Amino acid sequence: MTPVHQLATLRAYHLPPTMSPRFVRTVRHAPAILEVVDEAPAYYRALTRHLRAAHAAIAPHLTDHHVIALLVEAARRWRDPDHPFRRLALSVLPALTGYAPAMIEEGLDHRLAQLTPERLGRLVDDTADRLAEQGRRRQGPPVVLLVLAGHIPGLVIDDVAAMLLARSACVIRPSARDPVIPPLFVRTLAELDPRMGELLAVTWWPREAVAVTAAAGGSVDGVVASGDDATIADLARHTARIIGYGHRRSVALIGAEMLTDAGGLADQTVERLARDVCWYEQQGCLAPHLVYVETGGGITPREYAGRLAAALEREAQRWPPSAIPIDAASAILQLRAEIEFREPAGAQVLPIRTTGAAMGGSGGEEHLTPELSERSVRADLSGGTVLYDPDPTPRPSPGYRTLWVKPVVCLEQAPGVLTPWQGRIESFGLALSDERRAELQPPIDRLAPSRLAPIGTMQEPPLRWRLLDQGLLIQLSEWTGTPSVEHS
Amino acid sequence: VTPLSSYPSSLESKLFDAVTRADADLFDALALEVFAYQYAHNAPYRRFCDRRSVTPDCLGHWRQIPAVPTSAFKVADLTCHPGRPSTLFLTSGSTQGADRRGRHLVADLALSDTAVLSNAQAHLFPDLSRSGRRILILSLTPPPSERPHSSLIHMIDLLMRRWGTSGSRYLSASNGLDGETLRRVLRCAESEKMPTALFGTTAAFALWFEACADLGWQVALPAGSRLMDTGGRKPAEGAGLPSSPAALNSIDHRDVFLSSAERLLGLPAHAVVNEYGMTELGSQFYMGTRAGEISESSRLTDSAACTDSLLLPRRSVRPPMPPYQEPTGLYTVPSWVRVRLIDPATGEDVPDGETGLLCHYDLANLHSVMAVQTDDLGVRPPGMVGGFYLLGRVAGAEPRGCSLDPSAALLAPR
Repeated sequence: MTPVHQLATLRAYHLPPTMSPRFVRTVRHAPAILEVVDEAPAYYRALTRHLRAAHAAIAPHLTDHHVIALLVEAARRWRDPDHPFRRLALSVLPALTGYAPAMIEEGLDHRLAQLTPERLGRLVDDTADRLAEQGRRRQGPPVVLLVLAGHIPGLVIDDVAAMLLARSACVIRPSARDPVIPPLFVRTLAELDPRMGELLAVTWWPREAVAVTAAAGGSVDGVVASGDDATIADLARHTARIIGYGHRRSVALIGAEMLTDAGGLADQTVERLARDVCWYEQQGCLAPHLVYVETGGGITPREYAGRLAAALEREAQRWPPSAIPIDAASAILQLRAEIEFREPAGAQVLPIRTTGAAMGGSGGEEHLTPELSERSVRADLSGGTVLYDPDPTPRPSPGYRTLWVKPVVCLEQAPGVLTPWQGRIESFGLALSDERRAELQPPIDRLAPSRLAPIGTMQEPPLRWRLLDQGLLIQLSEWTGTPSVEHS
Repeated sequence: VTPLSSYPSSLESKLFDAVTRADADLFDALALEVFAYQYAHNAPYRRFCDRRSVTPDCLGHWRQIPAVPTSAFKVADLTCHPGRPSTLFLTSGSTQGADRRGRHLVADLALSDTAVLSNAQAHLFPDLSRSGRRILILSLTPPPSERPHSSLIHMIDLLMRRWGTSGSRYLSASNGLDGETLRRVLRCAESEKMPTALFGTTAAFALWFEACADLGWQVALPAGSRLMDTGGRKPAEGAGLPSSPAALNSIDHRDVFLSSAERLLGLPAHAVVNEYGMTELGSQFYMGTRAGEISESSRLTDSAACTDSLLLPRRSVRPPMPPYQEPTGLYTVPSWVRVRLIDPATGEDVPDGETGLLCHYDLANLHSVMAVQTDDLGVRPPGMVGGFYLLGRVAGAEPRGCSLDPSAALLAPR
């Protein structure tokens, strides 16, 4: 087992042996120093040519059985708490992402747990069925550029699985948030089967290196990118084909039938929703931005908001919140004020935490004293913010544990109110009876989410979400047979 | 000035004294008095303070005065005189519709108007005495009759009435800027050696500069001429701004803007002053104050003028260059205003040299709230007292009115 303190410099790339870079440089990226490739655009075109040749030589000989076995074994190794790559990743990711260590570990394990023979086998079958309807078979293009957002550490595992199941070679550009798991996971695959090391390349370059992006994007057969809309628009300029996972958000719906204290049901939904809100600081598209809570239950939506605020504070003990960037903190501050000044109209911000530590106390509502002359009134946004708002119009959250709670008389109102967000909702988290869910499904489907999930599991999608429900495997296969265009 | 019955005349006179004499030593005590007044009379603000357990009785320093984020102005009437007829200034806020515009109700303009004039005298007209010297003022905005709720146009109107000659005028209307008339008047000012002051948004000037360059038109305005632009930088991905690269470049890069002003108007850099203001504030901040230089070069120089300029910044040397790339320039802070740079996650001041959110404490906001939390980013160089560099708006914040769509760039209220 390698001690973490000896791993201050991390190699943030993995390349086929014959494509070893001539030029590398180190980038300070606390808490690590990353060694990254520092090559000219021509190198990336050569890399694509290499992957294309490797694809031609290797891909025809890969079987689903072999690919699945590789993925399952790689996951098994990574689930070992003493696996050096896992230890390395978990040692640096909290500082790189700001996420709580326990959250990263739990999330990573959830991703790894998806890689079982049963799940992968079922996925292969279901994909075949879907593609058969289109008269296609599962087959991606020879070489794909995969650009990662890094909001959800470990999601690259799903993407790598997709590439291998599509038999596509791949250049993976990790994000600065998570430059660790992608090269390490590919290294594990390459250790298991060196041919994987010929098909999968991981290398980071700065966003500002437009010529490199143009070379990489223009020489592959298509780009799969996650990130903000501007990033995807930038990438689209350099490639003929792109699958973009841009800015989307998620919504939760709580039915009145779940808002009863009998059996602790209401509190269960509160705790589960709090988990969804805290998970990855709402940075991914699966994070809930707002929840519609139906009136007429055992507790009111306002009470629900209060309990949720308390639950967020409890979760902050378990999963310490990350530092909030200034733009998000400013947005939260402004929203809190807006809601607070709308209190006469029924709005409410929870909790109010503006005094305490800075005043020398341990929290709560303390009175200022003249002796504490120049200390300012302190805000504390880290424990989360619940914005209770009777206006049902959907509003996005700035993230970092900030959630809109909007009461509705009847949950069936919600899909209609959400129409302006049509096509921008990634998932719905539901706390409903089966009967209500069935009733609500058609109007929800019209909003085109890729996932419906029980409250409490919104941010832990199964493997099939990325590959099948979001359609990655399907779309990769749809590219096959259409001519690619080489961009200079 | 007619005092409002509900605030003590002693406070009123002290505030006027502080603004006209620019006595910085008065700020600390007056801020606490103003807070007590606002706490007593501004009910929404009082609730805001009560929830933070801040009352006049327990307040020890102006830094403890709770600052109201600008979003509150969109949903509440933050006035000490809710029943009284007031002047209403509106932010543009047009990205979310008219109903989301910030509202600044000012029950009595006397104090804030005095602040505007005192500040402008120090930074825009240090060479014009109070006793009658005037200058041709041309505004690239519509007149107040067309934009009655624009604090910017109210300010320009004040300046025009105070320092403008009879030929001063507004050159925009609902159909846009009358660039031809503007060029004709400026040509006339050149031939008659008539110093001229041009006012407008940065975007409006950028568009007009581009049009002039396309026409191959330029003028050499006489010494003593000057330009004040406001609105500053666009958001990185801001929609609706001038779309041409030349105009955008001029908005984004101060040196390009200054170069255009010099090339097309004959205005040296020291005669071009950028202003930063907000609908929610009675006072403004000026960048690139070159009062002495304007005075020295002006043919209207009145030796008494600069002795009035007690408001000139107290610094006598250029501030040390920050370790980061210098933004557009340093804004000076009037003596009756304080500016903190805070970390919004904690409410604490950021260390000098680090980026924070600008939080203004403006005594001229007597009848609303004096402490206003913006979503503008700024930085204060180590060792600097008072001034700040403006770094733009936080990502995702609504653009300010001056930087919205092309027509808004010319026409919008601030």
